[in-house]
Amino acid sequence: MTSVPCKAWVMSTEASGYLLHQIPYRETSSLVDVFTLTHGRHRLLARGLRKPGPTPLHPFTPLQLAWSGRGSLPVLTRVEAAGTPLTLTATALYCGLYLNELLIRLLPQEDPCPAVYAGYHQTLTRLTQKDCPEAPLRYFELLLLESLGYGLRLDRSAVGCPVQADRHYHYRIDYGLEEVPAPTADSLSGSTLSALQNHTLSDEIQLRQAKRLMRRLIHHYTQGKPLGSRALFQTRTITSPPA
Amino acid sequence: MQVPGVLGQLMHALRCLPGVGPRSAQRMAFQLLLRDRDGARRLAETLLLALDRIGHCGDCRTLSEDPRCRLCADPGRDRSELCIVESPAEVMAITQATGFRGLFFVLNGKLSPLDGMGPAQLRLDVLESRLKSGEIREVILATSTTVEGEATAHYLSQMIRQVGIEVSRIAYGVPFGGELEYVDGTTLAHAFKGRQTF
Repeated sequence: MTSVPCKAWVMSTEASGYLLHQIPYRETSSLVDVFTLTHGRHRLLARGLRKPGPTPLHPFTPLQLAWSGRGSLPVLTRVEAAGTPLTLTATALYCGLYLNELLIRLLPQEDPCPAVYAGYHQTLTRLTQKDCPEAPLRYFELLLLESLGYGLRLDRSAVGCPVQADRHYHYRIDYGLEEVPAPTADSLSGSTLSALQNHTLSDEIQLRQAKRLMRRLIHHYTQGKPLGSRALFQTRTITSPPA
Repeated sequence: MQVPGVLGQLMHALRCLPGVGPRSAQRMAFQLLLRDRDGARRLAETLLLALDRIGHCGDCRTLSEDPRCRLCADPGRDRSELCIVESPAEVMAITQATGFRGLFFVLNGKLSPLDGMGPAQLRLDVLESRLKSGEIREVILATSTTVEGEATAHYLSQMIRQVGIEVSRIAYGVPFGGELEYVDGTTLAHAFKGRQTF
């Protein structure tokens, strides 16, 4: 447990949460972006955090946090691990960093999103298992966009016709689904749309179509500024073998 | 309040140092101008000299006055082992603590997407030409045990394995002389997971 002395008369708040990002501040302190159940994404000042010695304040570790002060920068007063750290390795670790980047880029500050919080915890847990990370990422992206108010209607087209598994659709942002006569480069099959909605994405075509859709939407809602974590997924290829 | 003139400029310039805010910058500026003008001149001259003369070693990217640093130019070192670290300070720490006789590569950073540090910022082209030289048999990844350090190690391991070089990662766990009761949960969990046959 890392404990920082706090002034008794300042109101203190407690919440469970996760660390998303940490920025060094002054000599030994940090600005920490946390994602909490009851207060959403929140930026706190963590004093003395970078002194030698262990701290449970790491990404992907369930935490119990307490902070005080109501001004622009509340001070973290206590942090304890509230569960076993979720050990993400290899590609799953990149996925975890991607989730954190999404939350920082898209979630407004101090706006509680209990559904996104639960989804985040669930997605991290699924990433620790060895199966393909693609599908859980798509469900999380969908949940995040829904919670932000950019809800996608995936079971009906924009004109109100129910989506048919064997037909093809194009998703127009801020409008909805439009049926297209034949599959195109960024069209989706009706079966992909219902699999995305019902969390049953399975084959490669569905995963690829869902990824293309979510990527386009996220690109739009992040104002086209690229996400840094995506670069991690492209391994640097070494062209010729050693002499 | 913005201090006008050169004094204001000096205070502003001092704030580029880590941990120096407006108050500290003002104190430093007054100290240099009122009480230690010789020291200030020495500091300014040395700073300019350092900027002119110190660059990056062409082989390992550590700070060096010569195109190749002392370690890389030393013929007595084992050129088949390469240890990859995040900063020049770690070269010193590892050399002193472990007696490692191989060579180093300094990343001068680690992969951290949220801080704008991606693979493109780490000068991996220099590392790539080292790997292609054919003299390296083992690469030891000594990046920090943070999430970013782990991601960096994984990224590098994928890149290095393509050329068939053995890759290892420094172990992490309970500090020497540490009693388990007082070790934090994260460290203990890692130590438990990475246990070795005894």
